[in-house]
Amino acid sequence: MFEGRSQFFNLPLLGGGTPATESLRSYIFRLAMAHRLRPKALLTELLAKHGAHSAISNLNDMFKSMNIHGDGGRAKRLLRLFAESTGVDLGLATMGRFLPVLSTKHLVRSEAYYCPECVRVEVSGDGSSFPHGQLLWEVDCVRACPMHGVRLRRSKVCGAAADDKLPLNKRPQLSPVCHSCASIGFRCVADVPETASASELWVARQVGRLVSLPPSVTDEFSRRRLQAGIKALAEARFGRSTVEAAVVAELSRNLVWYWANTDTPPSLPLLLQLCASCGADPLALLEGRFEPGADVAPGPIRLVERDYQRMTMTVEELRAAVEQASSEAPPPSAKSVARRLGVSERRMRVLLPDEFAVLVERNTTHRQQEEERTFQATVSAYEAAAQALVAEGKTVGAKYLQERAGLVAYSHNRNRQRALEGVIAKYRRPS
Amino acid sequence: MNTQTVQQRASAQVSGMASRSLSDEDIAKQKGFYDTRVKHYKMEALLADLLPLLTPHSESNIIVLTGATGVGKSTLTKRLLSRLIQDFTGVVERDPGAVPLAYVEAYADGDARFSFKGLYRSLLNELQDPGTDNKCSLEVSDGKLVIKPQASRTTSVLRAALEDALKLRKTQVAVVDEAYHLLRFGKLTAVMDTLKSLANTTGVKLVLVGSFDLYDLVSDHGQVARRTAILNLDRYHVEDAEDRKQFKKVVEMLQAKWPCEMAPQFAAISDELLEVSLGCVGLLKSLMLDASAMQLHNRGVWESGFLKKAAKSNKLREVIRREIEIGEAKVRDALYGESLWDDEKVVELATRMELSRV
Repeated sequence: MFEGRSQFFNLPLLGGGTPATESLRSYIFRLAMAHRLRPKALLTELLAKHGAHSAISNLNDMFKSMNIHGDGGRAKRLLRLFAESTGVDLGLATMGRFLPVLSTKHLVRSEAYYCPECVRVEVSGDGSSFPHGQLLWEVDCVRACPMHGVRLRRSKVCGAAADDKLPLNKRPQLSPVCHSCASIGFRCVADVPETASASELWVARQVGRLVSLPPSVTDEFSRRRLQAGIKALAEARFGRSTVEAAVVAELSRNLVWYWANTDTPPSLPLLLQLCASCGADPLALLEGRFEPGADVAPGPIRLVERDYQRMTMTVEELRAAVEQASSEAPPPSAKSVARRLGVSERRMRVLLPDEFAVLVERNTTHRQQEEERTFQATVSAYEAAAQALVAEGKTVGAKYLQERAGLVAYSHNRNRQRALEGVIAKYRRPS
Repeated sequence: MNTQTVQQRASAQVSGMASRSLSDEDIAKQKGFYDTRVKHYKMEALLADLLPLLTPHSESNIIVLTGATGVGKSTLTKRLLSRLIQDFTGVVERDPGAVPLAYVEAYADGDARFSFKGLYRSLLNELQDPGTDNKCSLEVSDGKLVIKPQASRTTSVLRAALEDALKLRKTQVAVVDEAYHLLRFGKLTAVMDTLKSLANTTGVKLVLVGSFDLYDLVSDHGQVARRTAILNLDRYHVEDAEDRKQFKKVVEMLQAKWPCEMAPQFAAISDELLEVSLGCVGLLKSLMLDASAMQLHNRGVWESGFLKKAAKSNKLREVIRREIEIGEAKVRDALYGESLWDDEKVVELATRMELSRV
């Protein structure tokens, strides 16, 4: 009867134009709930209508990592499809609009966070209203809520008892509802919110200013303008020395020069680190000028801890650190050692091939031993359960065995699957 | 005239007509006549009563439109829909997600348990709601969001999805045609409770279109009666001079759309047509459609015998007449406007109100 209606409900984006702007991820989850569909089913409907199944693959992975802020074809297409299908301009809901001037590195985090106070305020007394997930909470360098002055919490932390945790097919995907126990607004976590530090709040306020900017302002951002802003900062504060600016901000010596003179875009945390150290207003910098920030940072801040430690270590110091890590019990993985020392795994392998090989070998051996030990323990548990079932005159089947042993053999857990199959084969009655 | 002569003549005519196949042009003309809808006095009067009842935020949430078979309920529904579509143009333009009006036909598939499911599905499709087969149960209980994936496609899940869709699509009016099928969905009180709560929770005006039997849905239930208005599309009455005059206009309008060049002068016998069609415009049109088909098959030549054959047989007409009279008697005092006050009392009340102003 009415042609050209939007495929999905025309739900308005919440908090648009404020630091509490809703994130695209939260919007999609809320939209799915309004249609009484799981988010995956909603996406399937969207892609089926637009024939985009082949173009947008690995949707599950994309949602798990929340990587829907990019400026790549997939993220842009998804954003466009959702905007068309709802009739709502969703540009404000992603960090994608800053990508012409900022790097994707350290932009959004791969884990959901929330502000316990924002959530508490939004949830009604009977728990029937749903808080919305804020874009600010998804920005990697934001650790605090600028409105309530408390630290953000990880969504993965559930305070419910083990019995209250839900099976996988009943777990909701709605931010911020606890994924493990479905408690609306994370009422399962009773801890008192932690007070945020002054520097955490400064960062949150600056990012809050950015996400609340209207498109008319962000559309004007360009690399050229930012370069002009960085040059103006270097000129005003350090007599044009970008190296000095970098040193003051505890950045790699030539990094600021790269930002100012090449097409290399800065990452948001490092740009904020520079602004905090130099007393610059980040928004003015993005607009191509230097202005002392009205909201002065409490002092130099370090938002990215690991990337630039390498410059302070010699090869010998690195060798000693790797050798020491190899002798630790249990031996850590090469990846975790690289992360701890602030060097890339590839660089460590190139500089110290022998030490690296020892580290990998010890870790691999340890993991194999651990796997075998877990396997044997699982077999023992299943065997004990099987013997109990046999004693009761029951058939030793997969379902009873898992229930009795209290160990579910998920399809991705190959060890348990192997143990279960082995025990069933052993106790199977001859036909 | 003996019976054999009539039968012989009729069979000769039939064989003559059978030899003439209709051209595409003839079929198009007949279709044009079939699609012709005429606005007439009784229908316009009912629409004038109905439209104010569809104003949002008024108490009557369920509006029952009844009428005799062939009185023109389908045409009335089409008129109502086109009028509402016109009224909702602004809403639709402002909001790309809005579906302010939904139209479905209730149907019975023989199993009452699945009937509401079918109605909900039809409404969800009408509201262009995606993923009807993948709906899941989402409930808030004790501050937790409870998902029951296995409960998908149950009646309650579809009902909840429909409630959300009606609210979020900003639906104002839902028209359920052939609504007498609802009588077979279950106990009448349960059916009406379901409809009442659907209308209450969503604020949607439910318009049920169907035969006089719909009155049974509302007659036993005070709660429902409070929120219901019954409107009857009245037929034209031969004993009423104004009705005869208006009916003649209807005949003239249909005659003007006649699909053959040689149009019979039906207007001259409008009173007789009123009588034979029991005052129902739909029955009149059926008669004229049959007659026009015969004329087209007869190479466009009109014969007076067509009129006799097109008119309903006495026995069938009697069945329809009896049904209409029983139905009209059933709803007579329940109709919209048939209140405690008669015309005389209303005049008296109006006078008192005016005097108090002075």
